Amino acid sequence: MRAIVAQTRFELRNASRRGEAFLLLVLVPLSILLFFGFTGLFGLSVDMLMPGLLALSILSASLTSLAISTGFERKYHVLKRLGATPMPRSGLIIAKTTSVLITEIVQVAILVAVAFSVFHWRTDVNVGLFVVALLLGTAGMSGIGLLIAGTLRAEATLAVANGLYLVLLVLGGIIIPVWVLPPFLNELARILPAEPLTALFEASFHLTAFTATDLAALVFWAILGPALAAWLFTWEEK
Amino acid sequence: MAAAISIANLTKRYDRHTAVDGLTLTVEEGESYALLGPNGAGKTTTVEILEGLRPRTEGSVAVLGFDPEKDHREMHRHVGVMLQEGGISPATRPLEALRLFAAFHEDPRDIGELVDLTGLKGTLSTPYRRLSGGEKQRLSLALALVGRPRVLFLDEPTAGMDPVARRTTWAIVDQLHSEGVTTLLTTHYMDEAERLSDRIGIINNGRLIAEGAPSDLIQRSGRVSLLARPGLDLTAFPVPAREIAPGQYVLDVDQVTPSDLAAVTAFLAEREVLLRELRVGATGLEDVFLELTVES
Repeated sequence: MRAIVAQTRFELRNASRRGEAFLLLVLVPLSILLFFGFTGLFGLSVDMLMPGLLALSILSASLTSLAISTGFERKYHVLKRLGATPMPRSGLIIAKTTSVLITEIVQVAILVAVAFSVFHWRTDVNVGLFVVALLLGTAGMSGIGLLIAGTLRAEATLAVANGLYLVLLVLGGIIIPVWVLPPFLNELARILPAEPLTALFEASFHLTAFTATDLAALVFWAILGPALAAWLFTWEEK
Repeated sequence: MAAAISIANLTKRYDRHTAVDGLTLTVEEGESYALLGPNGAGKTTTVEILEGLRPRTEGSVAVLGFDPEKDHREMHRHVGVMLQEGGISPATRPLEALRLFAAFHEDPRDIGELVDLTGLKGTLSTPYRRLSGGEKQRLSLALALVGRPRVLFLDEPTAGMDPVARRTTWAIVDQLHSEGVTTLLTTHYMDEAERLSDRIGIINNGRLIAEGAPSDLIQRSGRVSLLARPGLDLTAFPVPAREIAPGQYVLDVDQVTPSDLAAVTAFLAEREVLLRELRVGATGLEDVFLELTVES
């Protein structure tokens, strides 16, 4: 337990030192909130933006940031070195998951605090649904992030993780509603993990009705992502 | 004495390449053992199998009676590892790394004591990427020692160190040896192997080709070697000879006679080749290493 706590603290400290992580984790969602919150461009209100921005926070912490940090730890033989200690691999995975969840809690808290204090945002939340969506989204996207980090070289991981961030930003219903997209992109968006996560956050804020297909899509990714990562992840670059 | 490390018929294959080929050796408790071999001989693969970082293809290995694959966690409570590559993120500070690794052990060494021992004072809050090669190696050594290991794996521990730092590291390894810590060392520095180890194993192509105390290995060699111009026509040589490195020749004779030596010097004089050195018997481990690895 002491080892896992120390490793989690270590992960969080390292994350706090990465400038690009701060940009991705905090600055981008916050800037979008402030920009559209003040301008109201395209008729977007804070109510409409918040579910998508929370999904974007989960995407940036559990997929993009986790993939990039893990990819470079793999490149620098950090994972290999940790493999030669009494801490089991499961301990490292628990520490990484915990640090991702703590990061997400901080991201959600910042976004909610700004929306609350600057834009007087108020909402009625189905906490159970919100937490389930957050956990499923985190599991699925972490799985995809670790799959990328554990199979590609660090430089390729950087490119793919950032590319995927942009794709899911567009196809996740985060700023642009997916119904405005061409039909094939609309269909694609609904089977990728970001849009169902946004949809479940919207349902948890009672903005839209809950749909079982969104939940099923997130469950699918929450199983497939970690399973593929567990199967294909290698601790060292070849 | 009980065996701290035992390897029996160890084989490791990567697709069609055999990195370790039926290796068998034993390191006794408290012993300091050096594994030597040219690049690609299978040293690091062997050590990483012992550390539980790679699965083996065939054979059996045990460290303090533990199977590195099955008893990974329990084994690492008693084992310290210094990898060839750092294994530290560029932004990590030495103090953070030491505290983290200390948290992995139930009874870690005092960090202050470890810092004094390895001479890391003054670097504790410097990001890893800004440390010199020697400081990185010393941090890696400190991380290997933090759990009070009974067995220590040192993979090229002084690579990149200046002569003073090398000797400091040697002194630390000496001290651990005197405390009864078993060490398995791989190195390319023959003086280091000779200085630090009780026994040496030389491996090539994944096989053990010689083993013994450094002085035994040196005495066992009865060769005649000479240094002259590279690329001499060996077919015309008066006695069978091989060029084992550019300009370094070894005579393939079991018992050298005065007339052999006279014939060789006369042969060179006739061709106006300057004989820069003629040596009967090996003078150091490097000669033995070159002779054995080239032969095999």
